Amino acid sequence: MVKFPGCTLKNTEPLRIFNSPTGYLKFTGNVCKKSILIVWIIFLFCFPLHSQEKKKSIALNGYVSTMQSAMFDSLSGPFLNENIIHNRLNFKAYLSDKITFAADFRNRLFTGDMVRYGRPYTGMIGEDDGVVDMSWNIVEEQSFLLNTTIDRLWFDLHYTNFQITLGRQRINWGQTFVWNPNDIFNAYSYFDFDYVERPGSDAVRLQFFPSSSSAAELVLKVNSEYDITTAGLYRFNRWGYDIQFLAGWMNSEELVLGTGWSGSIGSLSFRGEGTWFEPVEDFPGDTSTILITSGLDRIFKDNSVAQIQLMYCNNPLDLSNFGSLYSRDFTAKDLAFSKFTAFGQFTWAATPLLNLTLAAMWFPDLDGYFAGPSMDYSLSENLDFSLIWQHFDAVMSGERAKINLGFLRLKFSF
Amino acid sequence: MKHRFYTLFFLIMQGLVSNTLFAQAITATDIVRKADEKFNGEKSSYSVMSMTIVRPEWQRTIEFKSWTLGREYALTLITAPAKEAGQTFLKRGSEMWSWNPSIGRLIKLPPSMMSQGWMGSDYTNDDILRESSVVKDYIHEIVGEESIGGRLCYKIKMTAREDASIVWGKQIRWIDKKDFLVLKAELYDEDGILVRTETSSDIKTMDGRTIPSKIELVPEEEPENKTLVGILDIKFNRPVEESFFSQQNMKIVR
Repeated sequence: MVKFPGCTLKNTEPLRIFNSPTGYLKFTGNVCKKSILIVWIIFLFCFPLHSQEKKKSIALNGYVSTMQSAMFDSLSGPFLNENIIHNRLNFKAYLSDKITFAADFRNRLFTGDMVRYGRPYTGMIGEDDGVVDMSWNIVEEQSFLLNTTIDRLWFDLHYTNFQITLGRQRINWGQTFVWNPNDIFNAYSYFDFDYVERPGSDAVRLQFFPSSSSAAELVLKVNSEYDITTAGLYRFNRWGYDIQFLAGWMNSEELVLGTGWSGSIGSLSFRGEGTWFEPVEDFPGDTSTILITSGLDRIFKDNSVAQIQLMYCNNPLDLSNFGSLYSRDFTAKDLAFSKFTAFGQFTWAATPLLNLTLAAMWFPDLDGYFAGPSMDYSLSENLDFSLIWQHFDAVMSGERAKINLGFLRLKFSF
Repeated sequence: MKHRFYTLFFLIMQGLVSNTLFAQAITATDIVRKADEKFNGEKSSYSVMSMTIVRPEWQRTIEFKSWTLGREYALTLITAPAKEAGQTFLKRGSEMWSWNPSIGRLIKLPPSMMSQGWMGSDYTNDDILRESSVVKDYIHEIVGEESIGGRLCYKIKMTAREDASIVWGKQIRWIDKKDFLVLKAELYDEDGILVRTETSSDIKTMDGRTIPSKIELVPEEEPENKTLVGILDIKFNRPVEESFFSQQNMKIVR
């Protein structure tokens, strides 16, 4: 069963519903009444172009995982234990050849010590930075918390070389793998490995594809504070490189200019990004932030992967607690805690089913480091087991602090 | 990075399947040339395939759809397993990209990615990359006729030319006389040692052509480690524009 706010569909029903325009209307009516008119116009417009080829008009996939974690500063000290049962549902409806509707749900059941801390923690989980609050703490008790979040909810229309996407969506402008200063709409967090999808942005995105390997984009995003982020990007392919330039206005306060690239040097991939953030209020003040990062990666014949990446920031943030690394409102500007940061990772494909990874990060200004050994094992076609360790050691607010996070995860994909 | 699957579409792109497995011909070099021309000279193709890695204790299957235009353009969509489904790979000349829908990210791949293997598959990069030279890089000779699975075949010995930089020293191919199908191939290294045997079976008519729909690759040293390729659907020369092979379409195709 797929649950939507306003209607419930059995798995067997959608195909029938989507076979007729009236059924289609009924469906959208339930999901989002306000959108009916707009969608209907678009649908009429595109109907003559409807593909004759029979393809599924509806798709549902996702995963269910259970993750046990423990957080502690030393083995002899107290442990904070937590379990998260996490279900993701990605629902897509192909309304016509040209129009797609998507709704992705993230359902999580938390139990453990963190939930018992109450509001500060559960409130953070129920937070939604978008213009529409679509994160609900459905049941919140002393010892458990059930949260449902809709982190994708969009309509997409593509016509000739144009594409317009309206709604909550992921806009990912990153070129490198660890830090993405170009990813101004929703930065990727390396440490938050259990949420690679990242929250969506409530935005309108217009894309134009001048050629098969280039793109021009315009995006307007609004957040819960009604702050606006708007930017344009142009990406093209030249000399074997993807090269991009972007310019915009972030969170109603900063001018943003950036560039990024991906290419290769022999068998090494060479990628990089740089972004300049300039708060307009005190322009030309001294609070501008420049983030530049570049890295090399290589995949070996046995599928082992080596990666290194360096980052420079003229104006790094103060890291007062390790929680900042996992912070939800993590932006492209908040990536650095040290003027220079270095990263290295090696994933050894020990067998086709077993990957062993060692990752490390160095923060010279904090006299600190991160070390992250992990293991991924494919138990069966759709079942994966992971063991992940994250260890931080750094000087924060004048004191040396350590923290360990251990995770055991079993994940079934469908 | 879901690098494991990058190889898949090179496999398609380099015409491995078409080249090795569906070849048709008349006389030694002609047989091989015809086969090569027939399948690499094709304008375009669309195929749905599965590839299964078989090991004594486990097996894993991947399924994908592929569109190709000449040798320059390819677009591959992974349809299974669930974890990887929806990822696409685009090749335009020597430029390659992957699209990962769950993170909404386009990733540029280095040209050297062509040389990656997949999950311990018995396909190696050289097989894939060098297959295109089956005509030019070998001296062909009909060495007899033998029956494979009840079908009479030309047995063709292919010896690598000295100046050719290819991984195989020698190949022996059994090509069906009636439908010109490569029903069996033995691949030998430069020292003349048998490395791998490929056999085709389950001959079907697909899109008007008689072709084997199952291919089994067995390495000589570890015969329990097999790779099975299944052709679930294939269409030849359907009109497809070069513009189909675009970054825009990577995100749309299904």
